[in-house]
Amino acid sequence: MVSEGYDEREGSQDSYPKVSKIVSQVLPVTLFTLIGSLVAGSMLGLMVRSIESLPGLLVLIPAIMDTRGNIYAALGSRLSSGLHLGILPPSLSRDRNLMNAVLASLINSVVISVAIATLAYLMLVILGWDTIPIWALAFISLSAGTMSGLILTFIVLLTSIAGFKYGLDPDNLVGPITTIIGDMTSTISLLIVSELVLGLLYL
Amino acid sequence: MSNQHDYKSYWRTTNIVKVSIPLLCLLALIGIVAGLILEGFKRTIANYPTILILTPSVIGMGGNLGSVISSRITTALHLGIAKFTIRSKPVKNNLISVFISGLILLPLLGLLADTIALAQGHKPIGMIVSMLISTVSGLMLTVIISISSLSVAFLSYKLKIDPDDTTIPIVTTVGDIMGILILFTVATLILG
Repeated sequence: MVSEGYDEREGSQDSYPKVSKIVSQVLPVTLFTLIGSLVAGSMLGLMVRSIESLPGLLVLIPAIMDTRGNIYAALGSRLSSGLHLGILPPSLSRDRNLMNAVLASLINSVVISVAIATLAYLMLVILGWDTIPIWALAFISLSAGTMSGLILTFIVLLTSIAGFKYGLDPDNLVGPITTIIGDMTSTISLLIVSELVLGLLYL
Repeated sequence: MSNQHDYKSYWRTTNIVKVSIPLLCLLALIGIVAGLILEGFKRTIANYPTILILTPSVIGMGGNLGSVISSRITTALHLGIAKFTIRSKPVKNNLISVFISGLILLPLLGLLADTIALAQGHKPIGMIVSMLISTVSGLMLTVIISISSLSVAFLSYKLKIDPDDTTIPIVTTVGDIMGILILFTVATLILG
């Protein structure tokens, strides 16, 4: 976000970028990232029926969405560093380090999905709130997490390697892209899985 | 030699998992608190799905504008040109810019959210009401995120901690929880 052309001498406040310039830099990027949140919102809109019939489902949603971004943004920044340092080859290959990093993010995803379901169930029981059984929460969290995780892994690999190859710094690409795609894939998977559980529990 | 060892452990699967799990668990816990707050507003969600559709966008917006403010201010701090007063140009210009961006984008989000609700066959809350809820809650969230990130940035700077390391996580966490609370409180007040 450092804008080009402001005077770096101490106390030189007068040359600080004008409001119009800051706004013109902020608006396009923000508008772009909002596409992801609007798609996510639409998916949540389609889930209203499941949310009403499956108490506890709503508690999982923010945690699942947040951890998607965290796990795969971390994978992306690790890959970027590896590419910059020349540790990773700039192609989709069976490189040992690449496989390790991808495997680690998948393990993280599985562990954290189970943790989310367990923690959410415990909190709901402690509060005395209505909830679907723990296996149903775990099934939703784990399968939505894995589904979106696999898609995100592919996207992160593609963006960082392709970005690096074509001279775009993956560090600048991977963050926004994982946020946008992460929001979309996690809510789409949640929608699919919750419809499935709704069928399983109430058929 | 020790360098080589560090580099190897950095790319070892078990090591990556061990390092990331505690932080991920903490973030998951915060997400669950956000989820419990949502569950508490379930009746509002069932009656007015527009608000649920609006939720990721308003939170995302608050987070975005908040992180823009904090990363710009921390840069200004590092360069030695920011002071913790409203008259300081980096503080004033960034605050005004973030507000203008919010005023342009938030009504648009409200409009889109209610249109999506209508298209999905839900009962819409009305375009004007939706735009009002989005704008009021989004701007309130931006104020809170701006105040907290500015305070954290200046405090970290005073304590000689790099503000780059502290402001963003705090902004994201505050944004998630406060975003849901503010949006649903404003919506409940306006919709009854």
